[in-house]
Amino acid sequence: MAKNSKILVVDDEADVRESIAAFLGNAGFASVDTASGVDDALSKILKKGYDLVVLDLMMPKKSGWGLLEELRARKIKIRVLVASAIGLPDVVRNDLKGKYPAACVDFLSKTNLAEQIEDMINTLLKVPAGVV
Amino acid sequence: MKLRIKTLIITAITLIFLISAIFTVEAGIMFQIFMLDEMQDIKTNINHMENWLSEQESGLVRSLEAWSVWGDTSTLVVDPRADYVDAKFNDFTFLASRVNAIAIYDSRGRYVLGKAVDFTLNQSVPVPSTFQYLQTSSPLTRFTNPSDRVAGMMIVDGKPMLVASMPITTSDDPNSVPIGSVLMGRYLDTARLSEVLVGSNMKLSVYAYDRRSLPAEAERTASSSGDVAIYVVREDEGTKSYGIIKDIEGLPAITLRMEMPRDRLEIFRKNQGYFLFGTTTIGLAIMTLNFFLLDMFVVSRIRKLRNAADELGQAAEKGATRAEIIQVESNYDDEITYLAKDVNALLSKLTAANRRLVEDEQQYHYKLESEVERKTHMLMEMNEQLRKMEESKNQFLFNMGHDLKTPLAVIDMNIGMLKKGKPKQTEASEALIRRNITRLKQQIEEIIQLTKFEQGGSIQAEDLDICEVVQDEVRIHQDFARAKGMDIRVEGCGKPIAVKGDRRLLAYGLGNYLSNAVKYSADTSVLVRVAQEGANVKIEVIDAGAGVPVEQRENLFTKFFRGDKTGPGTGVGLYMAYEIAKKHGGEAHYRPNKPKGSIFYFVLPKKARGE
Repeated sequence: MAKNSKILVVDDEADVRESIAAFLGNAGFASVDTASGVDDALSKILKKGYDLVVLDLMMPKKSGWGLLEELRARKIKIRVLVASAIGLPDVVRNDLKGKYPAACVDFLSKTNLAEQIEDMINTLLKVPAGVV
Repeated sequence: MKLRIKTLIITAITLIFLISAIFTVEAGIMFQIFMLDEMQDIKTNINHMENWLSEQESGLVRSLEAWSVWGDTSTLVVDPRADYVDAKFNDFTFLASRVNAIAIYDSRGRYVLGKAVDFTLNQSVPVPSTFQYLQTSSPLTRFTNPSDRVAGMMIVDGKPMLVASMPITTSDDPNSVPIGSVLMGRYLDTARLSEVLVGSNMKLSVYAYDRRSLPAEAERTASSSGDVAIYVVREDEGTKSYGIIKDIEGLPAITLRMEMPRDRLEIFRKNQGYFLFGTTTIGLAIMTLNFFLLDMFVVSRIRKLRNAADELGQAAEKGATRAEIIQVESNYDDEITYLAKDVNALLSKLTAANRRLVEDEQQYHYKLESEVERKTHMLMEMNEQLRKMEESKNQFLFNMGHDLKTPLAVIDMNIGMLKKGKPKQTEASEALIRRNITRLKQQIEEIIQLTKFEQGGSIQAEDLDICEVVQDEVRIHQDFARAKGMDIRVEGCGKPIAVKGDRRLLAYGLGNYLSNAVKYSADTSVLVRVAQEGANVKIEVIDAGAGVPVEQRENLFTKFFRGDKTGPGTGVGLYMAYEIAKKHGGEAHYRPNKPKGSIFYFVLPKKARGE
């Protein structure tokens, strides 16, 4: 089931989102899309529906926090793996867990992207999709 | 010592001196007066005695004349019959005239007959031998003129006697020749003589003159008449005075000795005590009055002034800023009142000065406070700026961390795919790895340059072709542009343009412009236009992206300024570009592109000819 899950990678940096997409494709995930910003991502989610979103936080125009708010506001059932290169990952993780305590939301520092993204996505996919 | 005690002491000393002086002067004057008075008494008494004697002499002469009728006495000379003599020398004659002896002398001065009576015995006594043996040359018997009379004193048988004599004639013819003389004598009655004396307790003694009886220390003084020589001996218990009376022949014959006790001096001395007591009492009264007056008019007022000054001092110690005015007694017009007025004037001046001081102090405090407030405000502002800068710096480090992590993550992921990826994927991964290594280099360069800038480092200028720098940077960024489906074109670099500058810095500044242009605009081309303008060269990076909102344009080149705080970026790139241009003597600016997008540009001085 996991490998058939539909995944959307949201990152303003083309190199990053393409690398993640290629990396996941390499890992066996059949359906990986990318979006360069929050608005792009939201329209794709509404249109196609995804099992999981890999979400960057620091993006121009609208940050990743904005997408989380939209998802919660629209009560969309989904899983979100926040992947950020922010300086203080523990602080951001706590912040995120404080605001979005749901099991379908998790955090991954970009420093450990290559090592952990596959495992974390697999773990998250075992949790039922829910409202963030 | 208090003023009041001093006043008392001064008054007392003054009183003692005053009383002593008065007493001494008074005693001296009084004693002098007493002495003069005493001498006057002596002279007066001598004078009185002289007068009395003179009266006695005159009386004796009158008795002699009455008795010595010419017929009778001539008969006594010519024919001294016994019965006739007895009749003529009867006792009545002696009693009535108080005559002690009568003697008749012939023309040659020889004693003829006489009679003497002693009144104490009441009987006849022999005629004194002095009468009987009178010298023939005696003026008492030698008359040439019937009207001549001789009267005076002489010592008869050792006793002083008043004598008077006159010639005896045979007729009352004034030209008749005296045939003898008659001599009448009366012993001096010392008791009666004493009666004429003035003054109490006087003791008079009369005796024959003897030079030796006169004390050696006796002082001679003149009598009022000048006939009598007076000698005075002053002793403590009294004064003895000696009047020397001359006899008929003009020789000193009789001594009148007066003893005057100093009763009056005793009284005077006793009075001196009363005087001293009186003077002291009056002096004490005056002193007390004087003291009270001084106290009332001077000391108590000075004390009041002092108390007022004391109170002022205490008030001043308690921090009073205004001195009360001392009460001035308007009914006195003297130095103390002036002093009080002077003190008041001084106080007014002091109060004014104090007020000014307080005002100055207040003003100073006010100034100080406002200055402190201003400085505090400045400090707070600076603090706020520092806080903001600190915040910005933290944000910078935070973002820098993010920016470093991102290419690392990309490299990390793509390395894994190099091994197991398909050939097409491998190629893509290689490109990604290369690009992100470049990106890392740029970011590290940025950190190095920023550190250098912060440390105030200088540029390492060299001769270079600005077009070469432009081309190099465009080549680097072309990769990123192409990855986004964009293209970077260069215009105006047909020939080299020489500038003097730091290659790495200029490349960094230009790279910053290019990376921004690629980052913030999508699906359009970026144009780099190089143009020479006089002595300068202008390098513009033109994009057709979203452009910079108006409100952000002002702060574009400010350190750590970021237009979109949620997005990536450190906020130092444009600041560094600006500083780099400045260090090259040029400028860095922004202007909006038309119809949309941005133009960031440098203006740099070209290398001068011959430089």
